[in-house]
Amino acid sequence: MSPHGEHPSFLALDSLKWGRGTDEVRTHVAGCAACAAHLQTVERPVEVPAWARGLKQERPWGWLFGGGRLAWGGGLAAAMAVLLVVVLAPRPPAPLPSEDVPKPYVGPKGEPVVVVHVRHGEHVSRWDGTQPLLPGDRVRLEVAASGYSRVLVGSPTPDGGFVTLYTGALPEGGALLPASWQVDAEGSGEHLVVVLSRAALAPEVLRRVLAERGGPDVWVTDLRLPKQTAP
Amino acid sequence: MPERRGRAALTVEEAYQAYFPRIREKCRRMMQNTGDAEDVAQETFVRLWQAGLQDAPPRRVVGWVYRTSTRLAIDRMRRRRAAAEFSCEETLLRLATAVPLEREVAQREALARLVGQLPADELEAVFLHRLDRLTQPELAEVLQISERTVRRLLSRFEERLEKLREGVA
Repeated sequence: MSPHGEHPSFLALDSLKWGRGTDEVRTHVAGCAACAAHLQTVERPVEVPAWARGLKQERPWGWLFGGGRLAWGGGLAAAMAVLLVVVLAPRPPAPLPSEDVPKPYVGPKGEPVVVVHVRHGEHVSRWDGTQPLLPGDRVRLEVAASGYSRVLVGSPTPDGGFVTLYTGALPEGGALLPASWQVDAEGSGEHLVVVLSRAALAPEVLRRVLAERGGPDVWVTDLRLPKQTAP
Repeated sequence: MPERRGRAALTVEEAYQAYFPRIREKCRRMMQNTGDAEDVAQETFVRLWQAGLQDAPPRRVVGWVYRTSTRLAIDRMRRRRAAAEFSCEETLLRLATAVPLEREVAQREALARLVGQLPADELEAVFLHRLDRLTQPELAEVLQISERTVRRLLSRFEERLEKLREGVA
C-alpha cells in the first residue's frame, strides 16, 4: 500500500489489468468505491480519435503521400510547393464525423508538407489558411517530408530575434510534432517558422538559414496565422 | 481492453484503448488545466507509439508512461508564467498547512506552482509520490533510480515543509 493511508498507488491500480497487482490491492479494490471508480474510468471503452488513428502502425502519417502520383495539376502543384495548408473545418467546429482520419491528399513528390491542426475546445480541425484563431486555441503541426531528418519550429521575436519552440528528429515520412502551442490574446497573429534539415543546425547556421530563408539541404517556410482577439 | 495475443503487435486502436485512458487520468491528476492535461496525454501517447513501446511488456509501458508524462507535465508547467508568480515559501507553506479535506486540491495547485523553483528530479519524485501515491519501491522502478536516491529526494522535500511548519507553529 502507499504511504497515503488506505489506498494503493495509482500505478498499482493501473497495472491490475495486466495481472501485476497483489492480493492486497485486489482485496482493497473490491471494498473501495473510490479505487473501483478509478478502474471503471480507465477501463471504459473510448472512441479512438482521428489523431490516434492517424498514427497508423509502422508508418505514422503515411496517408499523406498515398497514391504515388500527383493529384494536383502541375501549375497548382508548383504554386503549392512552398507550403500546402489543407482546408477543412470552419468555425464553429464541425461535428465529430468530420474528425475522421482525413482523406488522403497528395503533395508534389519530394516537397515537404506542413499541416496546421487547431484545437478549439474539444474539437480538432485543420486550419483552412485564412480562418482567424482565437485566444486559447491550440496549434499543432504535422510535417510530412522525405529526406529531412530534423525539424525545428520557432517564432520571430519583436526585437528581431528568434526563439526556438521545438526541435527534434523527424521520422522518415514525417510526423505529428509532439509539441503544441496555445494562442494568446496579444497581437494580431502568430508567426511560426518551420525549418527542415538533414542534420541539427548550429546556431550560426540557423541564423544564416533564417536570414536567407533556406540553404543547402534546408527547407524553410513561414506560417502566419491571423487571430481574432476582439469578440 | 485487448488481451495480449502472444507476440502479435497491438494496433493503434488497441494500444489507445489500453493505455490512453490511464495516461489521461494520470495527467489530470497532475495538471489543473484540462487542456494542458489532454495535450500532455496526447503527446505521451504519440511518443509511446512512435517509440514502438506499445508491444513492450505492459509493466514496462506503464512505468514509462508515468515517468514520461510526469516529465512532460513539469516541462509544460514550467513554461507557464503563472508558475513564477508565487514565492517558493508561500507555496510550500500552503502545502505544509493544508487541512486534509482540501489536501488533494491544495497539493496539485501547490506543486504546480513549484515547478519553476525546485530541482526537476525532486519534483518528479514528489509529483509521483504525492499525487499518484507511488511507494518508494515504485518510485525507484519508475524513475529508474535507487531507493536510496528516492528517499533522499523525498526527505529533502519534507525538510523544506518541516522548516515552514516550524516557522508557523
